[in-house]
Amino acid sequence: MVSTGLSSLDQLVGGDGYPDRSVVLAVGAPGLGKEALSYWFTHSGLLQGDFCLYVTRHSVSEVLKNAKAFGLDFGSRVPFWIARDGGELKCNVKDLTSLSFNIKEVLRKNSDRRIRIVVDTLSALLMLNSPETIYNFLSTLFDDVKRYDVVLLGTVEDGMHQPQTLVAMQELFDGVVEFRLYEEGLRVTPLLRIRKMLGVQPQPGYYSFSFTSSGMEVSAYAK
Amino acid sequence: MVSSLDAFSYLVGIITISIQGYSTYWALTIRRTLFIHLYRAQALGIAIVGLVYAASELGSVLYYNARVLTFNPILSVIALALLCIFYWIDKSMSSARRSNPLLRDTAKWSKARIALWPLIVVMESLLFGSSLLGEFSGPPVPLSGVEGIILGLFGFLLALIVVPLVGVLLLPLASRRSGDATLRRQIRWFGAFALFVFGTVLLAPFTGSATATTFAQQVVGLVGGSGAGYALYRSAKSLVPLNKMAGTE
Repeated sequence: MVSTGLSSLDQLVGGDGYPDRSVVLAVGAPGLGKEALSYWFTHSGLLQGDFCLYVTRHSVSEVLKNAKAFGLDFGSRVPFWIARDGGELKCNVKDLTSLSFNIKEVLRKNSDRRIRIVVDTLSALLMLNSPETIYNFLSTLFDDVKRYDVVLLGTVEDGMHQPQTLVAMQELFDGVVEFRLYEEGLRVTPLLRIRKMLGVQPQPGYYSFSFTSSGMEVSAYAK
Repeated sequence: MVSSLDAFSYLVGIITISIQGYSTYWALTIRRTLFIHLYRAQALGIAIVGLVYAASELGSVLYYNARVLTFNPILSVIALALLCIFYWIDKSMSSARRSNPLLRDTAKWSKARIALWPLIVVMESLLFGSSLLGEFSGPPVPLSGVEGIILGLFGFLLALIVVPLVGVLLLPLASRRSGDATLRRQIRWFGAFALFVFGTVLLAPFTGSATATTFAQQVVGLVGGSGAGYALYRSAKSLVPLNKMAGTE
């Protein structure tokens, strides 16, 4: 198991974190903080000495600034960046071939270590290509990635894509963590649920969550 | 003795203020659930616009009907509304850039905003410091006389041109390029809100005088105010996708 970096979330996804050699998807509306999962996951990996690869359509400085807003400072330990600007390799979301090649090359060079990958480009890829193209691209990529000791965490925006596209995306992943806003009368509640997780019994329950400087607080939600 | 027209005006005021207050409530409720500063600011923008609109309605009732206010707040409220709308436009442009798959910065907004904000603030300051506002509100102002009126008018007209121009031309373009369906829906409803507001303002000279209220004015106010309130409410609820929990869940 690979720790999510958040003890409260570790409990929810099976006790000790994400399953080994798995690909996990965080789905949620913009602004709900699903990116924080990526920051904590990377931070935890860096502390444990894992090799961390961060694939982002943003610049490195933007990601670091956003992470800081959640109370996370990477300090001197930084991941390997495939980013728009400021990274070791350039992230071009229009070029699927080079993106796939770059990820596989980085994995090959670090195959002796446990690897954590964060990908925040899924929504951008879905907007620029047909869902079928991205479905095939990810299927192939995941097959290659799972040959290594890797856990991949991807994020995708809710409300930007057709519902059937999101459902198809979720099929591809071993685990799905969903962040949503629920309207109940005059109240709006942000809730989290684990839609599925490899090797873990499906959990039907909802959890309320909030972010603090030390992580995420999660509690079972009662209507 | 309250005339039937005054009673109708109070009713229009209560309905409009309630709907705008409800929009503001939803914008603030959604804001509270968000964790990213940019989206929180965008929600705050809608909440402030709703508040200012409700304040303008309250001011209008207090001046025309209750005659509690000794000055007409309409010009200062319009000026304040332009400032708030510009704040929302600014945040929405940044949000559109963030959801654009290639992070395209429409009209180089991240740089243009640095030039536009001081311009808008200067224009509004000219208005608030001029005797144009004094003509309506009465209190002494630093920029007095004809020059003051001209300066105020200059600032007011410029803000009246710049803000809608940016909102009508750039925002739909940025949201279309972003491909974000949620943002597009929010902007469409805000556009409907703006249409109701400008429609009401444009019809005002044809429905009565500037010093006294008429029945036709109140009907236009009711339709425009309710329509604007509903559109702003829908815009607030389009800030993020909201789900309903199924009974079985």
